[in-house]
Formats: sequence, structure tokens, C-alpha cells
Amino acid sequence: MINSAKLSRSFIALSLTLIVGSLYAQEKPDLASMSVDDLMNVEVTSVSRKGQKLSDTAAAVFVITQDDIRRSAATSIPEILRMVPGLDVARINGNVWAISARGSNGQFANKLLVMIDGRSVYNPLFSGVYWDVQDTLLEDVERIEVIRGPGGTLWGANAVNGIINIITKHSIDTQGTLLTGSGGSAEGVSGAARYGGSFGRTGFYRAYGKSFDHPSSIVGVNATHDALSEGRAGFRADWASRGGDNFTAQGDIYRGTAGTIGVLIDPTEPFSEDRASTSRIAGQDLQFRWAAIQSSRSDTTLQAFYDYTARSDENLVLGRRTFDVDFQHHLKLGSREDAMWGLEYRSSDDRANGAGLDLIRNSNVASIASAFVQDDIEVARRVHLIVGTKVQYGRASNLQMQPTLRVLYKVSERHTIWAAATSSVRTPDEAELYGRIDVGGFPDGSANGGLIVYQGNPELPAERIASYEAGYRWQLDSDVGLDVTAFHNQMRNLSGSVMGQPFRDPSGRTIIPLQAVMNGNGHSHGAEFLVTDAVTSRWNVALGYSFFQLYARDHSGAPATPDPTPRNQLQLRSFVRLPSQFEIDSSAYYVGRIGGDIPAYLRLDEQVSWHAAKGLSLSISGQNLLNARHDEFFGNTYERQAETPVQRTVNGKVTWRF
Amino acid sequence: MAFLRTSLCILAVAAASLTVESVSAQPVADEYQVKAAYLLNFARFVEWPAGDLPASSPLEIVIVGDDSFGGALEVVLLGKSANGHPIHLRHVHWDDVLTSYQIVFISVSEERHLPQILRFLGHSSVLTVSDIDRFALRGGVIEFRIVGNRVRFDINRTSAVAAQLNISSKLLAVARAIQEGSVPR
Repeated sequence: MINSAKLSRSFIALSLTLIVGSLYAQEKPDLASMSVDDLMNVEVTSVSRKGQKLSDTAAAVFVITQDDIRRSAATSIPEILRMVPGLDVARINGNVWAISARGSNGQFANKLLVMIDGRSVYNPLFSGVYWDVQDTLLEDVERIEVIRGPGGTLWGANAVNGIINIITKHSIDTQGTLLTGSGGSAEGVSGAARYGGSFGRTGFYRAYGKSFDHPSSIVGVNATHDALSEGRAGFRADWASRGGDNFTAQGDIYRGTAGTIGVLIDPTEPFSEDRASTSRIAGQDLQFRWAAIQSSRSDTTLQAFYDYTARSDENLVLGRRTFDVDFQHHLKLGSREDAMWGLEYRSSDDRANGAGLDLIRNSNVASIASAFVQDDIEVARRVHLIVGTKVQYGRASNLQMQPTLRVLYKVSERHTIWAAATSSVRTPDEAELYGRIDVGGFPDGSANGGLIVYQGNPELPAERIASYEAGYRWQLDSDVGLDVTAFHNQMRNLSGSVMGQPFRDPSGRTIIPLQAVMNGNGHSHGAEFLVTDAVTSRWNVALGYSFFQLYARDHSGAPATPDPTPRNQLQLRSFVRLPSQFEIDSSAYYVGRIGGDIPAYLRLDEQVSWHAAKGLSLSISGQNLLNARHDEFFGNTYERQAETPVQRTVNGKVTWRF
Repeated sequence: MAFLRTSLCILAVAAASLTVESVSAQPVADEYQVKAAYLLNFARFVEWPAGDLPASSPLEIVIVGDDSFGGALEVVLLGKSANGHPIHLRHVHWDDVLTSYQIVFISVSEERHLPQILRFLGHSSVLTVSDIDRFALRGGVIEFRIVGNRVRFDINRTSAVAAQLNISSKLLAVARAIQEGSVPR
């Protein structure tokens, strides 16, 4: 009996060990003995941060990947941007686009900042972006980050309604040869070539050339008026020092012609006349970047660029040179703070001459110095508070502060809630400050005739916009998610013009001045939704919807010109992978009417691609397949570009890599 | 009789606990413990050329950059062997000569140096593994991905062939295949 009691006690001890052991294993499975199949079913408790995840930012962010670009029927950067829910993209004619977010759209949309690899292509003369010259080899674009809403704290003035940052690939990702050729009914012919190689132990480079020749969409009297032909070449080199510093040098050069219609204002009959002409467009840029890592808690980036851009026709000559140097320091403070600060200096000079255009100013050189600081503090577990401001000093705008306060709450790895309050500015452009622009002629009873002249005002204050945003994100994996954003903007000092007292100029002509003022006030609100889903493993869909309303009044309380932004926009995109390396990708867009001028339209773009062999892809795409033509926007009054309808187009493309 | 009752009782408890284990929800673990366990499986289901890994010589696994595993690697790998090769573990700098190791895990902290690391490795018989985004697409062999809170992986077969690695069909069957020809880079 004693023996059996001893035995039973030790047996109990052994059994308890087994039980405890198995309970312990229940909490922490013995992973070392698990097969691959078992491991695939283990749920993990934390998801690693892959660099700086954009989905963790307290802002309305959308990222266009190279895959999105490849699977889109679009053949130019402005057309690719259509897929971003909440971005307003409208083609005015074959070489002019109006692109903005959250209102203020137009050819010279003045509240959206656009950058290519950190080089600003925003035009401070008339505001806006000349989309016809913002291009590169689309296959070499890594991604396009689009932030809707204010980003002035990091990016500076005029990033009031959004930022578009086009980021090209590291040259290691573009090794080898790439040849593309395409042709289509409305797009004409185009071709591109790129070669990527390596140098030294750590260096990589690529060089590319591309050219296209889009015919005019209008045939007849003004046969050339929205044609666009361009040739472009560029390079990028990336290398690293043994110490681990990374260097990048890149540059581009382009030349081309763009058909335009200029409006010639005449004080006598017929007062204004449309003149078709051909603009010569030219530009080049050179950029250098040095990124250094001091430790795992500190890294710095120094970047400098030079940019030249010009366009000229018989009525108008515009040119600008920009030199910019930018320094940023990113550092971790303690275990909870992630801080950034930076300094930037930009100097640019421009020339602008044209019939009926003059700039009354002491100097054509404009310099801007700015500094920013931003700190991301983890105030509690999963709760981040982001505070920051930009301070900018410019010739006309004096000292401008652009503070932001943001809160990010990561409810779980899949759910994120964020909210932000930001005060940002839109500084007046050169035309608003110094412009003298003829905008109309009228009979004044004399032989001279009268003129209506827009007059800039160097004392104009900056527009100031207070933005309040909130958003919710749910991300199951890279294919399935939901993103919702709502915003309210309060705007002061909105730009406009008032009619002044008529007077006679020295030649005896009657002049009615249209004086630039910033006296409008208003508010806007809206919401943006995006749902992505994988219906099957081979079929992905994305559904986007955006809503927008803006109310603005001038100082007298009279309603301002309605904002040219549709109230409702809906998009549905579908991506299907078929066997034998076929892909069918479709995008349908509903865009509500714009004021009384542009009716609502439905647009369908489609692309079928076949990866026929290793490195060889063929695709055929169609844009605006539902109707023969539709209007998307109207022209502009400064340097008016006549609108032409968007036509149905079919395009074929061959891509060969080796 | 008393003895018999006690042991029956213990057996019943043990059986009950086993039952609880088998019906409980799916196992939960730290992401990097799972990744460490995968590395052990990779060591066992990949064949290196005999010239690079002679019989019973150690199989060396190195971590380049920050160690996100927080000790999990040591727990899972120490004292283990793969096909008769004792597993050794070490931490190295991105700039070290990596071509003599069998498995090189590149930490997210080294993303900036990835081009250089892959270039240094060239076509040497090294199984590169990382959780850097698009690692397999950029020429790495195995990339960890998180899919619905589970760790999965992609295999770039072209890179594996170039490195003369023979990956068991058991691994290939469960991985998502990345072929450079089909997904343009």
C-alpha cells in the first residue's frame, strides 16, 4: 500500500506537470514543433509596421500604386488621378485639365499642391498646375500619394485642399530594358524606352526617353487647337556610401508643342477674338538628395532642386526658374515621441509678357523661407497626438503660421479613428498681386473704345482656411477595407474682384478697373467614402463616393460665383484576373452636374491586358466608352482655354521588358 | 483499489484538459514567434547545394539590422537542427559579407539598404527572408505578409532558382508565387 501510495503521488505530480504543460502550451503553442500548415493558421497579436505606413496617418490619404497605374486605362498622370475618391478631375480640352479636391477647381486650381519626388510643380504666377507637362515614364512611378485636406503644416502654403506627391521608383527597381509603344484613335502614337544598369558596388541608374503626339480633338478651322506633342528624356541614379548614406540624383528635360486658344481682348469691335495658336513648351529640372541615418533614432534628408519651365506663343510668353533647398530631420524622442523639423528656402524668378498682360512689380524675383516642426506623441496606449506648425516668410505674404492638431486612435490593428483641426493659408499669386490683365472690351462712344482691366493689389492678404476633419479606417488586409472621411472648412479672405470707378487713361480710353480683393467668406463641407473588397481571389472591387457643398459670399453678403465642383460623385472600379495571364479592369464614374454649365455624366473606362510571355504585355483600352463625347469642365477667363468634349477613345499598347 | 481510483481520476482530468485544448479557438501567438517558427521550417524544407553546405556542417541563420524577434529566435532555434545541420544564429550589420550564410533575414530597419544587400548577395546560395514590403518582387526569395492577422509568405521562384536553392514542394504549395515575368517591376 505504501509503495502504491508513493507511486500514485509521483504519478499525480507527473500528471499535473503534463496538465500544466498542456495548459501552458494552450497559451503559447509550441511553435517550434509546428508544421508550415499549422503555422499558417496561427493568429498573431501584433502586426509589424512596414516603414511609415500611410494608413496610420491622421489624414485622408489615398495611394495609387504602380499596379493601379498599370491596370488603369489612363495614359497620363492627370487621367490616372481620376481613380482617387474625393479628387475632382475634369478634362477641359485635350491638353488642359482642372484638378482639385474639396472645391476651388479650375484650370488654375489654387489650393492643391503637386510635387514630383518632392519637387513642387505648383505655378505661383497664375496658381494651378500645367498638367500637360507633368509627366514621366509611367512604368517608373512607384506610387502617387494623394492627401485630401490641408497639408500646409508639412508642405507649405497653398496645400489647403490637398497634396499630390508623385514618387518615382528607386533605380534598383528599374533595371534592364523597357520598350513600350502605343497607338489609338484619339491619342495618336507614342513610344518610350528605358534602360537601367548599375555602377560601382552600390550604384544603380536608369535613363529614359519618351515621346507622344496626340492629335487635336477638333478638326476644321482651328485644327491644331488642343493637340499635344512632347518629347522627354531623363535619368535617375541612386547610390550609397559605405557609411550607409543614400544619394539620389535625377533630372528631366522636355520640349513640345501644345495647341491653345488665346482670347485676344480688343477695345474695339469685335471686342474679343479667339485666336488659335501653338504654344512651344519647354522645361528641365535637376535634383539631388542626400539621406543620412545617424542612428536608429535620427535621420536627415537634404534635398536641392532646380526647375525651369516655359511656354510661349505669339500672344503670351511665360517662364519661371526655381531654386529650392530643403532640409529635414526626423528623430525619436524617448519611447513615445516621433518628431520632425525642417527648413526650406526657395527662390524663383519669372517672366510674363503678353498682349493685354502686364505685371506691375519692382522685382520678378520671389523668395520664400520657411520652417516647420511636427511632433507625434503617443499620449496613451494606441492614442497619438500630432501637433505641428509651419512658419513661412515671403515677400508679399509676410509671416504666415499654419498650425495643426491631430489625434489618431488605433482602436485595434484593424480599426483607426482620427480627427484634425488645421489652419492653413493660400497666398495670393503674382497675377492677384501685380497683374494688369485685359478681360473685356466695350464701346464707350469714342473711337478708342473702352477696356475692362483686372488690377492686382500688392496689399492683398492671404486666404485663411480653418479645416476640421474626422475619419475612420478599417483594414482587414491589403484587399479589403473601408475608409470614411468627413470635413468642414471655414474660409476667410476669399479672393474675388470688385468693379472700381471708371477713368480715362492718358490716351483717352475709358478703363473700368476690376480690382482684386480678398473679401469673401464662406464655408464648405463634405464626405468621402471608399470600400474595397475581394469578391473572389481573382476579382477585386473598389467603390468610392464623395459629397461636397460650398457656400461663399462677398463682403456685401451677395452670393459668390458658384463653386465648380459637383455635389455627388460615385465610382466603381473592378479588377479581374483571368487564367492564362489575362486581366480585365473597368472603371465607371458618375460625376454630378457642375453649376448650370456642365450636365452630369457617366464615364466608363476599360482595359484588357494579356501578359503573353515573360516580359511581354499587350493591352487594349478604351476611355469614355458609353457615349461618343461629353463635356467635363469649362474654360478659364485669364488665359482662356476653350473647352472641348471628351471623346470615346480606343488605345492599344505593347510593353516589352528584357 | 484506492490507487486505481486515483489514477482513473487523473486520467480523466488529463483527458478533459486535452479535450479543452482541441476544441478551443485557433492558437494565438506573437507575430515574430510565428515568423521564427517559419524560419525553422524554411531551414528544414530548403536544400542548399552540397558544395555550400557540406553534410553535418552548421546551418547559419543571420539577422541583418534590428532584431524584431525579441528573443523568440533564440527560443525557437537554439539547439535545433535541420536535416542533420545544427542551426547557428547570429546578428550582423548590413555591410558585412553575407554570402557565406544559409538564411539571411533582413529586418524592416534595413529597407534603405535593401538594394545594396541584394546586390552584394548576387546569385550566392543564400535564402533571403524579410517582411519588407514587396521584398519578393524586388528580388528577395521569401517575403512574410500579414493576411487577416495570420502570417503568410510569398516565394519568388526565379530568385530561388538563381540562388540554386531547392525549395520543397511542401513550402511551394502553401506560398503565393511571385513571378517576375507576370508582375512587372
